[in-house]
Amino acid sequence: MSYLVFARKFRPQTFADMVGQEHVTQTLTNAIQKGRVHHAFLFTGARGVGKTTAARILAKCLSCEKAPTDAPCNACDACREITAGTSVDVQEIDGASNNSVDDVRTLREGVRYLPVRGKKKVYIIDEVHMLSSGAFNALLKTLEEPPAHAVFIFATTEAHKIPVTILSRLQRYDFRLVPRQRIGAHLSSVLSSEKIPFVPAALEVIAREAAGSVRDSLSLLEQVLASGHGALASEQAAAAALGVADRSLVRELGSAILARETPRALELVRAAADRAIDWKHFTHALLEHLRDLVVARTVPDPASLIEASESELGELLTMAKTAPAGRLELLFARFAKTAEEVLRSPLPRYVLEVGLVELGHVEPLEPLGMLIDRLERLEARLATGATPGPAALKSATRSTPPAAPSPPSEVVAPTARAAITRWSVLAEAMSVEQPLLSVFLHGEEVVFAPPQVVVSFPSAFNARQARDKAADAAVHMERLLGVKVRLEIQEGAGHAPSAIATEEKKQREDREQRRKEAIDHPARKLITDRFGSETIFQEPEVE
Amino acid sequence: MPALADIVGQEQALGQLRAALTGARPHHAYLFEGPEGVGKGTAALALAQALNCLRRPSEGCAGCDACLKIRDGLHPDVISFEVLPEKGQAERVRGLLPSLAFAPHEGRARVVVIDPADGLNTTSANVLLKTLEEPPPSTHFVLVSSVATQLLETIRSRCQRVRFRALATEEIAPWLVAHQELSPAAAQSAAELSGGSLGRALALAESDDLSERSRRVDALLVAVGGSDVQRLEAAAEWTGEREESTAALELLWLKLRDVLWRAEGLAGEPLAQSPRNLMLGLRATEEARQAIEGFVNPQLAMEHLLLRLAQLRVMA
Repeated sequence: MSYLVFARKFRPQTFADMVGQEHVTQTLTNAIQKGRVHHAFLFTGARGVGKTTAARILAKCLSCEKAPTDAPCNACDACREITAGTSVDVQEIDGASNNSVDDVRTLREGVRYLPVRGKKKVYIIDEVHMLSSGAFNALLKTLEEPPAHAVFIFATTEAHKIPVTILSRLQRYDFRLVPRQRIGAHLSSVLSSEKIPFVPAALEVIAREAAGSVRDSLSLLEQVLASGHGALASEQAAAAALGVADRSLVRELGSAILARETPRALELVRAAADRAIDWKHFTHALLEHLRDLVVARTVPDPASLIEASESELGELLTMAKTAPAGRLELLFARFAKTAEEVLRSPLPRYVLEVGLVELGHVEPLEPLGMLIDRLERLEARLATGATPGPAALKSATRSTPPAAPSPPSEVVAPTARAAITRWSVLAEAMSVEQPLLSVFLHGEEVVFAPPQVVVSFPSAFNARQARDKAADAAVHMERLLGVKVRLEIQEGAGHAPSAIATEEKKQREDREQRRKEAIDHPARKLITDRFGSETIFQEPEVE
Repeated sequence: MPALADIVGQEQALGQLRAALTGARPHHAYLFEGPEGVGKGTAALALAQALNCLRRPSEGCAGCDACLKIRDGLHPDVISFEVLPEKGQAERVRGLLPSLAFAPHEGRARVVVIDPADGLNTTSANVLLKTLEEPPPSTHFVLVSSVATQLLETIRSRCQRVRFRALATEEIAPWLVAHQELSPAAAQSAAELSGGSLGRALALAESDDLSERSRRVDALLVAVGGSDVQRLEAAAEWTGEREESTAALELLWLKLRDVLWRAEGLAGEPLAQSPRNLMLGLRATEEARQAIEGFVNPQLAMEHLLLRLAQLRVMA
């Protein structure tokens, strides 16, 4: 009946078998070859990457009949005993169960005696972070100067819990998370040796879910095999067995959201429910997808920032390009909130659904300045008595969401083109489209009569920056205004204050106003009368 | 005690276990994860029965000596380790381990069920690590948890996960009608409120609170459409009812969601209401529920919510 799970069956028995820890195995091999093996090691790193395995292999290297060797034979009595865990000279101690000072004292008693069979006595203390501080201290002297035949190997996931005095006596090896491709390759070699047929795409799902841990990947592999009656038929089957959303479902949902097809989005959620998908996982996957879209739209060459195959990446890029500026970011921000609610709600599926309905309503925000400008024009027209025609009213109210996503160049242009009558509005619109053009916010309007635009910058520095970006700005201005602009950049104060200068002025005035109000306040008078103090106000330091 | 076959709606989890049982390769450490009340604990015992059954090995008969002993918690090889938030927890776990070194007393396999595994404190969990990774022959661990993400990563990495899913409303409601003689309407609302947990749906169905709660929630909605005084009076009814009010807000949330679905034209007859405001209303309702869970005075939270809903012109 006793069946050995993959993680144990395929535990590497030599350094060469280990996956993805070359920086450790190479160093250890070199040390053994040069005969410079330290007497105390610390193996640390994430779960299931090979710490205990490496410790056992090292023990074999030092105890094998051919010791010291970097390739233990795994055939001699010493090696076999270590594999079986029955060796007298190699003791593997569970640090979590034997964590007291007394346990360490017993251990210290034994260290003094020579090994029974081999040349070295190896003490492997696994989960060493659980030792009590007393136990650690009891080890200090032994660890610093152990008998010539003793070697200590500590293994733990939490090196930060080990006292520095212990750390300084250990040679430390940090085990890394194993890259996905390496895990995939390892799984395929395991499956080949078990003679189980498989499709590579299914391994990809498992490798991704294992998140860098080889043991996790083997546990997951068995889980998928158990669900699939011993076979690894397809990517979908693997994803279903692990309860993760397969990428295609998430991608489809993403495109449904972008196209504002709420009914289709809800239909996809129902499909996910049929497959018993874990809602938290699903929400997270969708959030990640939205993030990928944002990155794909923002970064010129996003390949290194997005984990996806080339075809997936191409699809992402096309999808991202169809979305208007700012919409993706908003979708992400909204959905991040939903994701948080899904985690906490007793009714996660319904919260997710409502969140998706909400996304259907997300509109990119227009720059505030443009809205104000539009309102002002409307007011002006009302004041002159001209009743705005239905067309004007329509352009002033928010247009209904377009059925299909429109190409980005049209987003601001048609409604906004006529609305831009001031430099500050134009500058703001530009900086929203392209943040690098924010420097133009410093510009003060001298002449604004497109195609002629003259802008003055208060500082020579800003003017120089603006000149550097003039070519880029011209492209944006042309699109926003609909005409080719002759932009002239001047230095020195202009006629109309820049957007930033106005803002600063307003803040200054606000501060002054509040200060005055406070000084005039009756309570202030009462206090100074009562206590007779003269120092009234300490202005906060303004940054 | 039901055998594996009697667990509702967990085909995938059971399929995974059956495949392991019939292939004679059960994992030595399982993590049963999924919402409360969907059959994890039951499945753990059923697994122990299947491993030890005398009549139908790998399936469990629920009738032989071994199965009966396991049902009654008398089997010496099936250890139900109940995790309590106690001081000597780690000592209890440590005490458990040495006994595992011996071969099973009378069964074929020893099964240790740790429930709820997320109740283990860090020390106890660490004590388990080594044994969980390489237990003695014929020993199987089953860790049961409804919040598996709270387990140590090192624990999770050593287990094979068996996922129990939340049941769909369409699965729970008919079951309630068939087994509990509930009216379809009552079964439906119990199922919707259960969050996919059969256990919770049963508890809801057995208490008479449900129709009463629904009535009170409707009263809240009427107050939203009424005057400020009516709203404050309606909120005053919830003084001190912390648990009942969170449950009621869940129901209110569901009702508002139905309204939203109608306003969006997704289901039911269309309704002229601002979806945007409804969504804000839903969010406000959920915030109020969380506030009450976080020990805000229920009456205050209700007042705030009702005023907000009125402001948003939410109508049911």
